[in-house]
Amino acid sequence: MRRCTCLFIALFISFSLHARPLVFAPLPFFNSNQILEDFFPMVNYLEEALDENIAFHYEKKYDDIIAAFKANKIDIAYFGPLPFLTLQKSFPYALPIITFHESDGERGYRCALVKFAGDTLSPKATLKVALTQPLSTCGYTKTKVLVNDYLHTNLDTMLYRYVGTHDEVALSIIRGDFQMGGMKESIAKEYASLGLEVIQTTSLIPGFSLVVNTQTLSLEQIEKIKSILLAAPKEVYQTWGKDIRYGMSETDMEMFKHLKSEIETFNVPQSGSF
Amino acid sequence: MRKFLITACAILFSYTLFFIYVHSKMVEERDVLLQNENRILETSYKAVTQMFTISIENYFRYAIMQPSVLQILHAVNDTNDTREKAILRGSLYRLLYPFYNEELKKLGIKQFHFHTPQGESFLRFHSPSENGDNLMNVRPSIQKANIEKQFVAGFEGGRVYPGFRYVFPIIDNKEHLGSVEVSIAYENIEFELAKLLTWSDHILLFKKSITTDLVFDSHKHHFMPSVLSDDFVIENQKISNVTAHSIESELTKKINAILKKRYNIEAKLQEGKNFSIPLVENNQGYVANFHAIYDLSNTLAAYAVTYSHLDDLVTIEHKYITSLLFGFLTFVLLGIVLYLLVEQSQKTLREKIQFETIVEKTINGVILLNTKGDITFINASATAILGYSLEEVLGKDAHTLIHVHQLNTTKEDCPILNSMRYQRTYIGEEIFRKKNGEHFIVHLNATPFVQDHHNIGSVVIFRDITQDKEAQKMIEHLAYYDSLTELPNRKLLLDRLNYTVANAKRSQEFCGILFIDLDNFKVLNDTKGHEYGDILLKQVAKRLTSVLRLCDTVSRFGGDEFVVLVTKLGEDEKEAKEKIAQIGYKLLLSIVEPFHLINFDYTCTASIGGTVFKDDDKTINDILRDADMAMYEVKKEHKNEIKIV
Repeated sequence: MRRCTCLFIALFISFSLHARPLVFAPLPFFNSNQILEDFFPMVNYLEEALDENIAFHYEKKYDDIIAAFKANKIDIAYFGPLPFLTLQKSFPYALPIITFHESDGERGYRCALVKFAGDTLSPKATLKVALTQPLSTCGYTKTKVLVNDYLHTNLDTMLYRYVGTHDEVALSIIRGDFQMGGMKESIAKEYASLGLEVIQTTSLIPGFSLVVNTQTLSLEQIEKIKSILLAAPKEVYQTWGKDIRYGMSETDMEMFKHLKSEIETFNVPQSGSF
Repeated sequence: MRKFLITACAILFSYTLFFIYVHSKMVEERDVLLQNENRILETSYKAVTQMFTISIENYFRYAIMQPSVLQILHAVNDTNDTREKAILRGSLYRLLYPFYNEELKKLGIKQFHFHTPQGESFLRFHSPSENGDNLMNVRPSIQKANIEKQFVAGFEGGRVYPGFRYVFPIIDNKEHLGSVEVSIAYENIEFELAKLLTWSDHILLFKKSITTDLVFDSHKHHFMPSVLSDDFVIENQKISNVTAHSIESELTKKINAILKKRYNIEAKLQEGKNFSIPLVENNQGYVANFHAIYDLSNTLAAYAVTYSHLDDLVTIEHKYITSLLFGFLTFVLLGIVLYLLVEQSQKTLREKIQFETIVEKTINGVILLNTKGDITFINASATAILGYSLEEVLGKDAHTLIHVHQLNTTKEDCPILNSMRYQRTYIGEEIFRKKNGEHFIVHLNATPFVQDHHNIGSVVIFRDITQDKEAQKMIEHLAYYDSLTELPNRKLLLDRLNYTVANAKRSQEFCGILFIDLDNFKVLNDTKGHEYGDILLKQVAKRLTSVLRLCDTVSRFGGDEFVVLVTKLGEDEKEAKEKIAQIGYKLLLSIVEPFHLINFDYTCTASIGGTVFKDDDKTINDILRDADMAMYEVKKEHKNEIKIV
């Protein structure tokens, strides 16, 4: 009887999950169009190759994406290393399968401390620092390291605030809302033409990855997704969004070890200091 | 069969003309409806693109052309240092971001773009990290603003978004600093159209040449193929949800499927004109309106398209189908009526020909009169009989012209006119007058034409019976008179004797008869021939007639026998016998005179027997027998004598 019940539940879950299309969650964002524009070509390519519909799942915060992932509402997500590690800590079914390369071809990226070239930094106590999100690798975690290296100051003693995305960190600094900020180095370079300059970078950290939900996807599906993406021709992925257009490789879990140990020492505040 | 085919062809031809007419009217009415629908779309598009004009011009004048902005732009123009340029770009972004964020974005305008005098993109507020690309060759508006230094407004493609552009050249102290563009992205146009065209689904259909062929690669997926044409794309509803509702709506899908299936929509789109396509399916009316949008180089760039229900199309179609059905029934009825009319007309024509043939060929005169008695028709026989020409009688009063009234008959008493007046046929004999004034007797039949109890005229058929009358007289004469002697014959004598006998009973006067037989007449005939006998008989008859009174009748009774009926002999029998005897002697005397018979004179005698009668029981046979017997007695005795019994 028990076996029958379990089998029924398993079948029910399996049927329910397969009744809906695959669900992909891009980066959390405020401006839906931009993020969507970045990820749409890749999702479209996957859709055609898999011959399955893929729906977008939008959230404004990593926390919400992690919660939805754990609730099996998301099958595939684009995660930075920190959010992935945070997710995996409480949900071991999350598995990174593909890591996207940076513009320089690296399998990892660097976080950068940036400022507007036209600004002169004011006294440390009044400096405002823009951060992406609590669960963003280049957010509190790596910016704290960068500030400490550049200014020899503890970020916790400064004015900082989460602004959402890397682009928003860049633009808010250019606009003069903040004097400094932490963001992905590659994205920071895109804003160099607006006077954004990198003043400090971290060592290489694992790249952004495509993380699959092994509870909702079969091994066969996961293998298929992986092989499709790894086989994607250059002329195809070159038309994808700015963060994912430089190639991909299979995720090397070894790269996460250092960061994993590093984050265990930090207690990431969930909101800004002002 | 031939008549039926001709009628059917005539009706088919007429119905075809009717169908063409009704169809053209339907198309006309439908076109008015569609023009109205298209005008709404055109007006809405114009309203959307023009509603920003005043605000944008003010923004340019008061927000953009401020010293701090111009100072940065002067500095940009003055430096070639990339870093310094980047800082200036960032400074410009920092300076104008509040305006962009708080003013333009609130208006729904996302595209705010500065260009260098060389046409390079300097700063896109809607995509700040994308700059440095040269737009001079792909954006006519930027080319015009920076080369001709003129304000430009119009639809245009772009590297990021196609849209409606307002491009202002920036000139400060006669120094050209570049240009600035404020654009309404196609999404804004669609968003604003949605507010105006609430009852319809709507999309913008872009030419590939101003979208996927022009935008940055990273923006190509903004668009997806249109089902209507390979040369056009639409907004990708997965990227922007402004038109997702319209693209995904059942109405849009349904209309697009019909357009693709039934119409050469691809060719129609290439024409670059405004057009509307009416669709009726399953008793539902739809309309697809296409408003052509031209870009600044006057090239077809896009179509604003609306899809909506239009039940008036069904109403119009029903109205005209009903008209066509009613028309069909009417034409069928007309066909039947026409067929019957043709049939009737041919029958009438046939009858008319028959009638005219009869009327023209008959020897009878035929005259048609109207209710006034005027002649409206006269046949050839009638004109020949009357001696008039046709023109001389038509319209003339028949009563006055040809009818002779012996008793000065007025029109009221005229039997011909009365037959019409009292609606009954008159048959009788009348006297007509010829043109030369000669009168003649006609036998006529006047029959009135009666329609709905009213006279509408009369037909008078007449025949000249003058000759008939003469022939009748001749017949009557031959019946009652002896052809040789012209004396009453035996029949007439018997009639008159019969009459006299009957009359004698009332008058109380005696009448009598004398039976005269010529003596030796047979000898004359035998010796000289009948010709001589006949001449003798004729001459005897004349002498007898000349001797007798007018009231007496002498008749040839047969052969050489004559009988004389004598009346008014008085009431006394004796006197009567004396009187008749005297008459007898006169007769004898007249006979004994010699007769000249052709070539000789001949003397003859006669034997006469007579009798008188009055109110007694004698029949005419008795009377004749008595006279005859008396004559035989004379003949036996001595001849040339008289005996009255």
